[in-house]
Amino acid sequence: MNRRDFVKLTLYSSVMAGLGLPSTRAFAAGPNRTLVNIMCLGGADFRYMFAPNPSDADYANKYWEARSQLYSGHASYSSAWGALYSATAAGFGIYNQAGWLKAQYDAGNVAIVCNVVGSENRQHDHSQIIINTGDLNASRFALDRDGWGGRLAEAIGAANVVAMSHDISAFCKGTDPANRTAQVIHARDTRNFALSNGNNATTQRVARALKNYYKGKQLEATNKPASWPYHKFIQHEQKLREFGDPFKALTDANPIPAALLDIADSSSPNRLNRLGFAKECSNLYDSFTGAELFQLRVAAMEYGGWDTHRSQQSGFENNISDLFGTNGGLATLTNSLPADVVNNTVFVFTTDFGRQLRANGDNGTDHGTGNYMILIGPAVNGGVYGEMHPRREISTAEGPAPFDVRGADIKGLTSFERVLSRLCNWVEPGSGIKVFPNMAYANLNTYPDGPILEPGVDLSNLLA
Amino acid sequence: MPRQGRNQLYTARIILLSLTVTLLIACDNSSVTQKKAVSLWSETSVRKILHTFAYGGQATDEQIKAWAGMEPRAAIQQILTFDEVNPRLSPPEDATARMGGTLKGLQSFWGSSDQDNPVREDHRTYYDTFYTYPDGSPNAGLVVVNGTNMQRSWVSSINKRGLNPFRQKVGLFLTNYHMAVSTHKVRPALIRSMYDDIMTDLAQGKPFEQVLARGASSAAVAMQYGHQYNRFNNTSSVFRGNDDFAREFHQLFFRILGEDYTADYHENTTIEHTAWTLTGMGIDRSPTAWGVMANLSTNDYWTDIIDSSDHIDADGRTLSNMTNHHADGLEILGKTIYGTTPREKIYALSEVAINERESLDSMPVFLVNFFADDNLNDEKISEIRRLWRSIEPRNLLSFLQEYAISSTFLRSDTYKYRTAFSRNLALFNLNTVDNDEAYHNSWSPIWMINTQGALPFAPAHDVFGGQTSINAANNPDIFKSAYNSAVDGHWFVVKHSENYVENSVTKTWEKDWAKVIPKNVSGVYRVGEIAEWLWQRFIADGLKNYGPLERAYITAFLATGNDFGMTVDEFNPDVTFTAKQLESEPYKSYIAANEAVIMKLDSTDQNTRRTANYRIGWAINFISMTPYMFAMEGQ
Repeated sequence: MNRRDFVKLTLYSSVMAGLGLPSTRAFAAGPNRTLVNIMCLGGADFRYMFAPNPSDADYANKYWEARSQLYSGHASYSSAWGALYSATAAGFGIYNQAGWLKAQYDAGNVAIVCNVVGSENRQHDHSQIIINTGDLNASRFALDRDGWGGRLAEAIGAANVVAMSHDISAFCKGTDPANRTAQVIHARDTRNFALSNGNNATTQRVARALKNYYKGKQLEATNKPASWPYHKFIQHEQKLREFGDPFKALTDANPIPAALLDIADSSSPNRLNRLGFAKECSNLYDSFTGAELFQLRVAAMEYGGWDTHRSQQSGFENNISDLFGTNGGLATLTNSLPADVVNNTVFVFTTDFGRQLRANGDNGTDHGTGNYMILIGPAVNGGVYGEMHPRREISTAEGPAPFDVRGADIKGLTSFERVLSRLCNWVEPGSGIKVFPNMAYANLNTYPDGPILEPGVDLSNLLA
Repeated sequence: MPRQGRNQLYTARIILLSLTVTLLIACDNSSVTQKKAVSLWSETSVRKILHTFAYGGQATDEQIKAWAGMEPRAAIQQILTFDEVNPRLSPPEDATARMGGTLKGLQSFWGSSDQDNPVREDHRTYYDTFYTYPDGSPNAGLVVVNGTNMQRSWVSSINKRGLNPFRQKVGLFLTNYHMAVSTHKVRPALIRSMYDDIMTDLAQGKPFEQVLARGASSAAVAMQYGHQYNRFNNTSSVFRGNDDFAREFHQLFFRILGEDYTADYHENTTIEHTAWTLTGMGIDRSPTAWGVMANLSTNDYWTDIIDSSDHIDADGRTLSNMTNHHADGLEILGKTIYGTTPREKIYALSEVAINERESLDSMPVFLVNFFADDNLNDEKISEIRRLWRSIEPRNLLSFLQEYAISSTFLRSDTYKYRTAFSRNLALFNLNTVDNDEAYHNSWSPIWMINTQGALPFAPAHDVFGGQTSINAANNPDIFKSAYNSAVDGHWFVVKHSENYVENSVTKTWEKDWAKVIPKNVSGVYRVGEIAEWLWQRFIADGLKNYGPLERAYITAFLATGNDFGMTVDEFNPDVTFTAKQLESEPYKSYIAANEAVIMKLDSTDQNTRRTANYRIGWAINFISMTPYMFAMEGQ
């Protein structure tokens, strides 16, 4: 959003609020296409979620040999498969705790893009910088730079990235070094979003002093160079001030649905394992409520706890139950939202890196490279893109089979840019190449000049 | 090697070449850098160092002036030390200093009934090492090590005179950021031992690689990363375990990604053999761990002992640490690492790792970035690397001291955003006048820090440490939380007195800014001068950013206890003023009138005195929410 749009919007909001009217309606009529990026912090082993069918004996046997440690209490793969997975029509199984994901897959709303690769350095912080910036060459020191969500919002124009997460990650930030959060709204706590105006004479004098001081500073700041380090805080105050009260009016008039409150209630039997994620789901619900005010087109969520070096099974089950379970956060959220909002929303799951093919001897998996990338939404053309359980992983034609090699990875064959740029194009036609400039070299199909694509895979119809 | 890997190696070589060239240039300019720094040395330089490295410190104004008058190198050697007590930085006032500055020592003392313990009686339970479940609860009588009290003790150490806040800040950095251990995964007593052990090593002047090796071989790290269960079968040559810390040893501790080696060598030799190094590190358990003789929770049986022999521990468990450890030398980072125990190998490997090209390049940049500079550029990075390389053996204290007095730090384009730790703890520390207040004012900032996304020994990020300054600065929710706290929770800053009970007698602590605020040449406390003194104490910028707006609002709070709008027009106070307006009449006169008000900080009348102190609290509360409290500029 440029400054003129911003001023226009805030004037509009102020006028409507002044008239005692809700500044915008709850939920946008004819909602815009919206992307929700859910960052799975720690490097998620999505291979564990999509298991080979035991009838594919060659692969399943190797798989079991390499990964049996990950299945506590099961003496054979058929036992683990029978207890833990539900078969899809395509043959592979989806972990039972991901019941909502399975239902969505069966309904044709889930795309699983296989063998996707981003960072290959296996370092958490640097890999997160790479996936969030969408730039393979991002420096490990690039702690304050633009991300692909921020660039997408800029490509759209009148749009914001709304972050439900604890921090504003690089994913959200824009390209203006003087104002990385110009098109970011932090909706971490939507029911307590506004700056306080004080509630008695004593506190009101502090609130009044700070409000007028910051207004005065806004004028001063316009004469400061971009490198002035204090811009950020004046910008925070300005944005919270302008959005806070109108948004509060909206949320006050639109209570959070009981089901969403229930999963965030620590005393409820339906509570999620991570209440923070339940809160993020409520925040996203509220943000959709205020989608017009927020100009919501890109949303950022996060879920930690994927660094499963030890006891992967229990941690993984908790995680996918929260994210993908029949009564999990996303199921509850999408059931609470109007159908036209859901129809225009796509969830994408990104993560630091994949994990190694073999279990590590500690009932977990260590850092790897390639992974699956999952997209969910009615706009997705569901199915599996690429070879889900590659034959090369069990082949011994060129030396030991990867499944037999400690430290071997899922081989990355499709660049993450290939998938995410398609998604950007769905949100805003033509934006993909702006957000991921490397896509200009896509036809070269080689690194370092162009993002790779698994042979035989066509992503052109990934999204409707 | 994959094309991408080759490309990374090629890029690394280019960087290496350009660094070498830059390094040669930088070496030629080193004497110029030092001269520039000396010419910049001033009272404001000293205050900036105190803010950057010690949450503002507790040095007196006279001491700060004395340091400013000294040759910078001599001054910095007094300002930044790793001693448990730094009497110039934090002048002792009571028994606090005698009890030393280890976390264990402080917690034991503050939780005790020692007659010299300055902690008020009703607060001593906040520091107890242990918690015993009360009668009637499901676990009645069970004893656990109290992690919350450990966190509270660390926070409390920041504003106590007679300790060393720089030491505590470095301790936080090393345990919570660089080594990234967390109470989410590790029992608190193990973390406390690790904290104290590495701080002892630093105080003894040990090279940084040995300090890191100490952490790497600790029980806390073995539990955090899970390699306490790793084992190597020396007969079958089969390793069982995870490679989590094998990787993080290089990536986190020494900042080595393996860029100077092939991907295959890094993964299959360096990482794999480091994982083998970290075998046979089973941790001892004891039902009497931490000195508890009965009813200790089994969760706290874990001790800080990793005994490399095959033995039976005090809990009756058989530990085959010698059998499970890889017996022979191992090739890592192109060298053969020898040692009969994991500890010996870790120390030997650390000697190699610290001198790796990647570590030499990255380590000092991460250090400076954490403490002092969010605006590093190629020139500064080159100078920082040169400085790190010039210090042999690598000594963290020498590096930070030299950096703090260099023109790489003391320059106008340096700035550092404050984390929730650094902002709130500076406010907490500098708003404390002396130990009477530090021990009797009941407020602790720990929950405010937590609300703003940070908590000691519970890093915000699962795998790579606490809240970063960039994250904090970009986070509007933290700003909002601080703002709303200043509006609705201002009481902790403005508090002027509090009652407490000692030996069944009710006593009162009273805020007394007169103890530290100087009178002017006329022998009075004049608002204009107090405002500038406060600004310099809390913001430390030589009044660079103390402009007309700041002057108007701060002096209004000091002179009247009200906001500036109210002092101009009490019936229409909600008015925005521009800096230009404030430099013109009639507002200029309003400000001048406020500045001329005399504050009765030394009045014999209690109410008058309290009102004066209360107004100073309002001014500080306001200062704490200016943008200048969220970041620090260079000089």
